[in-house]
Amino acid sequence: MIVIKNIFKLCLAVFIIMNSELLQAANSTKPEISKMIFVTGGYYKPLFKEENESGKKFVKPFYIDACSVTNSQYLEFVKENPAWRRSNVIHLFSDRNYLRKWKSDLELGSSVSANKPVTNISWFAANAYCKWAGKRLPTVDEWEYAFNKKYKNFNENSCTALYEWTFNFNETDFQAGSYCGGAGSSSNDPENYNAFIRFAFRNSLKANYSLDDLGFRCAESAPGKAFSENYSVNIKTSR
Amino acid sequence: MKKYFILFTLIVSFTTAAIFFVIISKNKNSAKTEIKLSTNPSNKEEFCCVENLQAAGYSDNSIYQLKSIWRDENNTEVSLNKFYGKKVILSMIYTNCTIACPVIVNEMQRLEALIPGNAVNNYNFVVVSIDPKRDTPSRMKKFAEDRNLNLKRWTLLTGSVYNIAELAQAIGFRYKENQSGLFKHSNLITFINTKGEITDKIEGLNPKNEEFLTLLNK
Repeated sequence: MIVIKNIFKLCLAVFIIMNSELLQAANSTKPEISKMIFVTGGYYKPLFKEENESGKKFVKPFYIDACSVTNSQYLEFVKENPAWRRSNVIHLFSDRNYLRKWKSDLELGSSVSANKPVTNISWFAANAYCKWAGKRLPTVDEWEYAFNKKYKNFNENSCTALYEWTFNFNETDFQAGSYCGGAGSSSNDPENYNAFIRFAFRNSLKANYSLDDLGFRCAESAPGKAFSENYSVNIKTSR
Repeated sequence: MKKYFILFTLIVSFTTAAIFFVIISKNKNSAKTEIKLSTNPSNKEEFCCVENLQAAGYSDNSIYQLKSIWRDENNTEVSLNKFYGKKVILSMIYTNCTIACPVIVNEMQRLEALIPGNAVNNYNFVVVSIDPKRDTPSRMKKFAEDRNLNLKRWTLLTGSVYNIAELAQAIGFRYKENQSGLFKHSNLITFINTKGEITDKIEGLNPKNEEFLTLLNK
């Protein structure tokens, strides 16, 4: 009887240990492949109206990462591509703040959490990562359109960097002075303060800036749904 | 007694199942990473070359660090480092453009004419299209012929949306296509030294000859 009781205790212990290992295993698989949201195409109202245009733009269907790219995901990329390690990256592609908070080329260190969005990444670096992952950066229109749809996660602080790169981040109304004084008059929605801040922020960026709160996520054209034929084809041929 | 026995069997079967699960999930993980690695060999090659370029002696700020492949007006593949060793005067335009772009090309021609004697052979004049949908190599060639560009010194490049964006970001050129297929863009002439480093930029139209000359004599 006592023997059986002891065996029972032993089994229980083994069971608990196995369980905790199971949990760990489940956790370690987390950053493997990031989930993507399918965004159906539709009309979108950009913050700034084009001259002589209705103010609405059609956005073709696409996929977008549910969360910003994380530190551990980016670490995988850096491991495989030595040119993008902190000590190797060239000035044309990034300023000196590139991966500033990481402990070293291949170590995150204790102050950086693996599953939080990676920041201090330049536009060139974000592009290179998305290319490596078989994706591309979303356009401004795609990013804003998806954001407006208020997907769960996308608008959550826990998995989204404060600001994010887009493929054509500085193409909006770059003419001098467009953000001073009269800017509100060409805006479709003067009350959309946050969107305005995002546009102003993007407009102030340069492609080799690596800033503290600036991360990114990747997108993919929806296959067979003719995103913009030229766009996707061209990306492929450029490899 | 019987109760313990049942519990015992239950727990044993649970642990076995758990062990199996762990083994399976671990195998799955390694399979995933394998797939990921095997789908990316082309990228590896690509990034290898950034290091090769560094080895070739391009500086940290050289635009020859860009590894993009373009097509010239003869539909021949070229990479930017083709221009290494000569000074480059570069602009980004689109041939459908009726207002600013012809002026920019005219200005580059004016510059060409200002360079005395044989010195002009030390320069490459490069025009890059920002409109890959319409500007085919043959269209670029026609553009060159219509404007009597000397193709010994001039090269007209077309490339992918991606490569255009990358070069534009590297030289600080901004552009935006609107829905009717016209572009808003910077009016920019970029001066690049023999090593691919940007030395000067002229923004805006109609700079004076003297301004050109000071840049050329630098």
